[in-house]
Amino acid sequence: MKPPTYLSWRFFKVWNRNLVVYRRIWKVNFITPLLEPLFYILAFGLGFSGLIGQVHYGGAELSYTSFIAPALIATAVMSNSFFETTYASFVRMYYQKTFDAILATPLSLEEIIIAEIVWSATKAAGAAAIMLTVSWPCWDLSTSRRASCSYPWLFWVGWPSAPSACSSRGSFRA
Amino acid sequence: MMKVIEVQNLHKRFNGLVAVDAISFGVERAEFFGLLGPNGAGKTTTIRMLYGFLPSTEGSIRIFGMDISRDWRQIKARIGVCQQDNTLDPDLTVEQNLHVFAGYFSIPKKEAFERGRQLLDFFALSHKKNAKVLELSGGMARRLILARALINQPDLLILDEPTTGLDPQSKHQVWEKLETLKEKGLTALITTHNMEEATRLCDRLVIVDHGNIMVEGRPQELIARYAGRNVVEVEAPRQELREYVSTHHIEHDDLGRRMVLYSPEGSDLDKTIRDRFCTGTCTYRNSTLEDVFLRLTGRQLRE
Repeated sequence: MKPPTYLSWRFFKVWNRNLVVYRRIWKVNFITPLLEPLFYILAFGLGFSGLIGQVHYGGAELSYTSFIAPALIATAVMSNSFFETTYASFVRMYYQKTFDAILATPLSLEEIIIAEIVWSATKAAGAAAIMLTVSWPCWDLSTSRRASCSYPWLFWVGWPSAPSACSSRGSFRA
Repeated sequence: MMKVIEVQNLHKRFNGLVAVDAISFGVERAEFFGLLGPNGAGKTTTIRMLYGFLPSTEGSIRIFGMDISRDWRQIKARIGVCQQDNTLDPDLTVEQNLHVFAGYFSIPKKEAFERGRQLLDFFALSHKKNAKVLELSGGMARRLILARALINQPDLLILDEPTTGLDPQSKHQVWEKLETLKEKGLTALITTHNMEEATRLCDRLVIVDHGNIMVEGRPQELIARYAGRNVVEVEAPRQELREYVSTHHIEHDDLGRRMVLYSPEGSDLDKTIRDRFCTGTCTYRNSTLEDVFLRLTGRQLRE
């Protein structure tokens, strides 16, 4: 007899559940990544650029605003995915008992966790894509071409948040 | 015929605490089986092991003839679980709760919508289909949990305290729905500490305490065996009554300020008490499962 399999494509059903919820409150989900870069660019770009002036990096002369724009995207990917697999997943697991309900269906805990990780990466990629687009005018011409190549990478950058989700597995069945 | 549930020598220990200690029972097809016991008796732990939520420490669980530790996916596809806590998804509407749940069972969208519509109709929730779950009353939420448990048209329904915390109207409505499902031939395992519910719904039941099965049987048989036919409760019993009871070997519980006497079928104990010992308040009533439950599990508080 073959051993039971704990992983299958069914994790997509849980991913889909999160998408359904996201679409219900999409305005709230949409507005944060839309406003976040604007606030940062206002605060740092306008606030600091006068103090710092031009920045020399990689042989190029950049305005301070163009210099920090890529960093905003990088931190957005990280914080979005991290928030999703820690706070948001924990609320679903502990307070809403969403995982309890799902575990009474033909899904395994491993599939739920994979779904949460993939979802966090998806959401982070989505948020960062919005930010990237919004902050586009601030990007220097020489870096913007390279930035456009980063869209497909946004999803994978969200994955380092995986360990935080995996650690919840241990606490769940305790 | 193959049993729907077959549990043998089931144990569960949590870091030295024995929650379930050598439980064995079987549930036949189209039977409503009750798992009764005080709080902390191990009912929910047993149920959680049955649907594969918790692994067992020892023993075997076979559902539809399959082993839960190996064939959990096939088993879970054919059971419906109504958990004790409200596990409805508060991020979704009433209708979405059913649709998303159907998705977990890989039910095609069209079919899921049709079943969702029928179930909301059956549980009188159609008018609330676009409401948020948090806007539902306790009774409506419970009915939605039941509806959700039926979305995969299960062969076995597992109900963990289905009416706890409901008002009498909602409770009776849930009972009626469950009776309708029973007539259709559904098999169910119910945990409860509502004895009226157990008497009304269960064909057979076990009473569990401290992780052990204390007794197994049909509700009426258990009542006849452990609590007789009628019960007389005497307030402020006098010494004479105590002497009479002990010399005539009458089944009773002496609670100090109150004495509960169990009178078997065809006995004239009621009359004797009324004529000779009933100076204060006396209550005459039929024996119930609650009498059996209290006699077997004791009257001390559990928590």
